Amino acid sequence: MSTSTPPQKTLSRIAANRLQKELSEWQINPPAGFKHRVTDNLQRWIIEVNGAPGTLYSCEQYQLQVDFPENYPMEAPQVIFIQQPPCHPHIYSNGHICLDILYDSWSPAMTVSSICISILSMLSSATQKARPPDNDRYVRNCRNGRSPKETRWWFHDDKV
Amino acid sequence: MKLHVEGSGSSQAMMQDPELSSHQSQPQQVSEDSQAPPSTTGADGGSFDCNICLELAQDPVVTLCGHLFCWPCLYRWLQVHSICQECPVCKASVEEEKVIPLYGRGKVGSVDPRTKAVPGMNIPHRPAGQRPDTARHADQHYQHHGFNFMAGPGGPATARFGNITLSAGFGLFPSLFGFQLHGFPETTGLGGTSGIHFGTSGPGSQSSHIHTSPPVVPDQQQEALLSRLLLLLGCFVIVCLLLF
Repeated sequence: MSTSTPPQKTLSRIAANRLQKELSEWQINPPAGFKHRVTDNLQRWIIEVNGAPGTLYSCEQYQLQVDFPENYPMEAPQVIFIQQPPCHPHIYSNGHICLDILYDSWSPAMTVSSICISILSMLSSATQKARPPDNDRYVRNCRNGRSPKETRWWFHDDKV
Repeated sequence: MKLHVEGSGSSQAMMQDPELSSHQSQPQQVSEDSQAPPSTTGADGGSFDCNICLELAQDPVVTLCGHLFCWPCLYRWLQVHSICQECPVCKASVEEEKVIPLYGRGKVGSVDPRTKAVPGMNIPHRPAGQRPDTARHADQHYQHHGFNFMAGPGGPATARFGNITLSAGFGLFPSLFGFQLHGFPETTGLGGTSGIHFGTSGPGSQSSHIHTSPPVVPDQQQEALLSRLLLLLGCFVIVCLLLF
């Protein structure tokens, strides 16, 4: 489980404005099943996720930690599960998520809200609760608190 | 009239005019404070927000796939993501030179967009619009007339009878004129040669259109002379047609 702080620089003015905007939009219209835990830290959001009803994760609650880089949204935020990560074929036991939009396929038109919806969709489409096959090896390699953004991900499953 | 700014994070203001208070007045954006997020998040706004910074687009450009961005936002993304230049919204390929700038009306003279410095990056001026030629509607107007002729001082005159176009050039010596006969209707070139263009749709109704400057107004005598000359030419043509 990694709650380590990535090497953070303070947000640029553009990033701060954009996050301010996202936060106020979230407050008006939060994505269904998510709750933003109010803090005074704009650069790190803690979001509670409720498993969608009718899926393997219904009535389960998880926590996402979203850390924003200095030049957000040109660069993707770092999104990981903290506390007890859900058991899912694309979620490692250290909370790292194998999801292309968080890395290679990131686009500045995406928002925290759209990331949350993608993650919930990924959870909901699971057919079995299992860890990724290479979980142990990967977690061992990340022991020094490496960010998932430094991982060279290989995205192979297009069904989630 | 009094403007009232509500809340701390909101830059919307409602008209507080007692005369206007009976009906719903339009919210007006007043503050341009960059720190406070503009409240275009309601059900009404957002259509003209940049897809990257989520604010009302500054120096707006639109991609060929129709997605709106601030030019600095899009430029920065295309630099960051230079391996594969694609639209942040729909992933269609985007070429820097092919984005379309939007030229609205407002905010003239606030800050020259070229002088706005972005720290750490030099944003060039957004590409210019691709401007098609001006629509030409002058020629179409005159094709409705069955008979017209144009004459200028010393210039060529063209007369059209149905689908026969007759051109006559006369200069200082009106007796020495040549004429041409065309079998097909031809749009007369208006540029440069004629000062006055007469369009006649029937006997008794005559309209005149002035085309180029300076306008030359012929007197009645010249007009009568021209019409007589034209009648003569017409007769001559008919005779020619009958003989040959």
